[in-house]
Amino acid sequence: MKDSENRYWIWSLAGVFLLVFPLYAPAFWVTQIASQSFILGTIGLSLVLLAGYGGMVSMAQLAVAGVAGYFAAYFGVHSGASLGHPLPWGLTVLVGLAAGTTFATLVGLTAVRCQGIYMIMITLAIAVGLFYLARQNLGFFNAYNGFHGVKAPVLLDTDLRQPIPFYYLCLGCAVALYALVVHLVRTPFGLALAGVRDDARRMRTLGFDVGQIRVLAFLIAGFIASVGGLLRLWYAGSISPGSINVGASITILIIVILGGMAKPIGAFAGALLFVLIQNFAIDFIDRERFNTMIGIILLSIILFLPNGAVGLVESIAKRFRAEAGPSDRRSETGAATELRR
Amino acid sequence: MKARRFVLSAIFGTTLGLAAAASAVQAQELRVGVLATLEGSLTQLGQEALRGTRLALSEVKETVAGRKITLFIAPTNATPDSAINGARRLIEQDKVELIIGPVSGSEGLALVQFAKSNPAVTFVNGTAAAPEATYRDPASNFYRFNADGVMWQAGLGTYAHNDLKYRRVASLVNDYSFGWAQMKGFSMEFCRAGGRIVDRLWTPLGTTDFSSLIARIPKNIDALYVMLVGADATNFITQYVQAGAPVPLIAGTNTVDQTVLATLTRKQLRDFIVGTPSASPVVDNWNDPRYQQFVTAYRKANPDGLPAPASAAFGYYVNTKAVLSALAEVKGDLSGNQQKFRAALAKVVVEGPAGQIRLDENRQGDATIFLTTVKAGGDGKLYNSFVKATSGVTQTMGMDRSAFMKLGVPGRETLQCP
Amino acid sequence: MEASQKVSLITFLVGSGVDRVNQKTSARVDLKFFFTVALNSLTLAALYFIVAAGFTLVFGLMRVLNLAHGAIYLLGAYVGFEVMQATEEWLVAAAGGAIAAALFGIFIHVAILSWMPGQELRQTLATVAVSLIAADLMIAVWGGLSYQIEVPDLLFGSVPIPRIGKYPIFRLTLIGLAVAIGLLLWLLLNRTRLGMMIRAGVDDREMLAAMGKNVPLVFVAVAGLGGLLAGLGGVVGGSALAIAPGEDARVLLSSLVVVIVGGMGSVVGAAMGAILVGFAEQFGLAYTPTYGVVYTFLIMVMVLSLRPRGLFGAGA
Repeated sequence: MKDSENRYWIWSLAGVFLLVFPLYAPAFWVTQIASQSFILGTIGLSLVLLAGYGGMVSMAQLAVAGVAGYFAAYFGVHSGASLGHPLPWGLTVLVGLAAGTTFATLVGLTAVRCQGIYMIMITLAIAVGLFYLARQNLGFFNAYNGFHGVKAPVLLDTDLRQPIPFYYLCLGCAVALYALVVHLVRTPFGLALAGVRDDARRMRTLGFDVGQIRVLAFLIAGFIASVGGLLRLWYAGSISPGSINVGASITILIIVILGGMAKPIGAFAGALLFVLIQNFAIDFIDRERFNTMIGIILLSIILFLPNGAVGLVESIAKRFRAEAGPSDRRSETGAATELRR
Repeated sequence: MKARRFVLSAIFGTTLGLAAAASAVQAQELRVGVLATLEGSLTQLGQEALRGTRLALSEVKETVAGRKITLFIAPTNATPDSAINGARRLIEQDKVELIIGPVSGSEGLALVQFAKSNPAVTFVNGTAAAPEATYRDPASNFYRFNADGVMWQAGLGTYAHNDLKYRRVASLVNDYSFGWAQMKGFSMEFCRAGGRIVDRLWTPLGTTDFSSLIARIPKNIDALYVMLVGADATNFITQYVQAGAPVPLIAGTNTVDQTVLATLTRKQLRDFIVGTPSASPVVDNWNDPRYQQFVTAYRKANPDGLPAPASAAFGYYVNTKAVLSALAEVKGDLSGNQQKFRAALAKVVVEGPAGQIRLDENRQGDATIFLTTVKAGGDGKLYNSFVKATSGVTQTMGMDRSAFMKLGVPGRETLQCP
Repeated sequence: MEASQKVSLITFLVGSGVDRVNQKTSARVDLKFFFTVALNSLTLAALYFIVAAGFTLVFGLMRVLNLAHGAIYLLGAYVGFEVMQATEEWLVAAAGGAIAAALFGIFIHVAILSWMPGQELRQTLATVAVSLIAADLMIAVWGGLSYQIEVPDLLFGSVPIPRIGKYPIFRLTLIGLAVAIGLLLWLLLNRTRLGMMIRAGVDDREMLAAMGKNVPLVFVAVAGLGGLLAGLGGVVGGSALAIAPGEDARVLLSSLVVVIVGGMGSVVGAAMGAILVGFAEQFGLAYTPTYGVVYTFLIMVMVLSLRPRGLFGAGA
């Protein structure tokens, strides 16, 4: 078919471009734009999985990434000699991923019965609570200061934080996790998750353990966010409470809305767009008014773009109201009920 | 979809064009980045900091060795994160060759580590005063010509115990690097003199509600050592006086800084704060001619500024002056990875308002520290009035370096004497 | 107990246990301290009530989680500050701030939210965007400085209170103000036509429309009322505490907790929620200072994990 042929060409071209571009582009574009987009996109991908495919808008994905980052910093190499237990970097990565995924599972267990806006509230409360915990706790999180001088691993004599190796690392992780999500949604679990999103009550009567499916989704999304968290830690070389504050959590939400698609690629598209606006907005408006600009763009998307972000949001909204029962259904203006693959 | 793609391409195209145009202009000018806290509770200090840098620049008419200096200002909010992001933007987008700043202690610590992964840029401090920035794990491209937070308290603890006869105190301090440093500087002397600090209260930067803390102040003390920065100090003093102000205060450097004194317009607050002792690198009425010149120049350049320069202005002023002197010495030559410039910077002797400043082996400057007390001036404004000056204060506070290091890094629990 | 409840309980116990272990200073057992903290809690609860009452009405009637509520609060505070600078009259400043905030609240409703009727999630996200824009514009206008609205001399200073000693007058005034506002709201809701329609709408919106009442107008009125209360809260908060960027987020989060605990649409619930949150916060900070600030959020997490629609939450 013509369409799938076109798609094949587009993906191949994109693939070649992504593989080759760092060899010719200035370091700023490779690291600040591309790598950062992959990192934010990865964390955003975890939200797309939860919100787009699971109908659960979690404001705690960045917090999950933060937990992974903090654990990796504490058990890794950083400048504060007296705090932490540096481990060989393989173990550090394992500890970080395990911690983040575990935390995400706990979040899932706690939030499993919440729907819609209540899910937003409980995950927001967890994220903000973690922020305050990190800021106040000196023994593990190092309170206000956090960790600095964090070094990325050195693999086969290559410092992974150098622009080109780091880019390929981020690219590799992003591609792998993207493939994971694309594959996952076609597995029985993925279908069950979509079923839970669409009509949890029916799924229950069919014998599915809705709670378990949701928590498992949080776990997987948590793993994805944890990978993003480690990359973010190495990118910045530091982590402190400011890295996991409300603003940072909202940034992930912004990225997913911007990307505007119910497809996993939306997270990366949204991240790229966000990073580009952040870096080049100064050419149009006062750099300090970046938030105003992003807010206006966001509002415009929410208000006017009929598909994309709105479609995603509308279908989630319809899903979470499905749980409440027929007496509470309201009419909605033209919502797409199916998410395109 | 289409619309999004169009916008994206438009952004790309315009940016590439502008970037090309911009790069042509760069050759002659000297691009200097400045980090200042222009958001959050330390905004007053950030604004004051910029006044200090601009004053130093105006002395050389913003030109050094024929090169015009262009300032790029990155606002921060006292969090380490914001300082690193600001510095990154300055280096990557604004292509600065040096960075002056930051304001706050914790930002400074983060910036030092950041400096290590950016060896091509020279980092000179603004007024960040966490001591560890220069004595523990320092960066070879980070220079601090102003004193640190421990040094800033030189003389205060001894004065409070021996002269004011305070024996039992409690403390209420901002819970971050700078607060810990000031606490260490105060308790070093106060405890050694025989005083007792019966309770330590810590509060995060940006606290607006001090009621529970005020309730926790112990009853049987002689004074309360308070070190709060910026808006926190204003809010605390207001609420403390409203709650009856049980005991007098001993003020850390920033608590009765001009940035705070200028906000205490209410009569009850002014009456209360008069007589509060403090220690600081600045003083408002010293009759030393060179210092007076500094104060006069500040007032002339900033008719809407504070009545007298605060420590933030002083810090940024001396650091900027050091940069300018070193630049003049190497005739503006920053080539060769700035090696010549950095060598000059390490050896430069800054003619500061309060005396000469030299760097030690960790690129940390020494200072003259003033003991002050708050007085109401004839014009109705509040001033930190001169009591005593201690010159040649070093980072080790006159102690043997190994003995000093044994005291430990400033923290919540350092140097207890309950 | 379900897994989620176990998790919340364990987190809470661990959190407070860890803090107790970390506490080097001894907990006060004297009554004076206890009563002082109790009074602090009441005054903070008063402020939270004023702000959250509007939030809960909007949430209850229009099912809109207006995450721009904090920004409305802050705008009221800034405008109140400017009016205070101009007129030196606190009451005029309060009126000015409240009215400006009410207008902002109505604007958000009419210009943005009414385009997406019934789509709660979309409306919530829109309010997030609005709060981003509003907060940034306020920084553009007023900068990063912290301001304070001067309390009239009459209310400045302290009075002796039995068992407690000196206590700030203005804080006591807050309690009186909150009680007055509570009473006025009660009267409005229970003794006026508008109030009747609001209560009916909270219970069953479709019925209200079916009965021919001008529902959109009621919505506008409630949006305005919500903004009015937020703005008034802003002026009060700006006098007792401070006005600065970041206060909007803080107040919003506290309002969220209050409403979750107290239930949507219930003014009495808002009062109870405000008292619970105020006490938890102040006692937390007073007795377990290092982690006291986390308690508010622990409460929210625990309540929502035990009762996913809030403590009194009925009707989605």
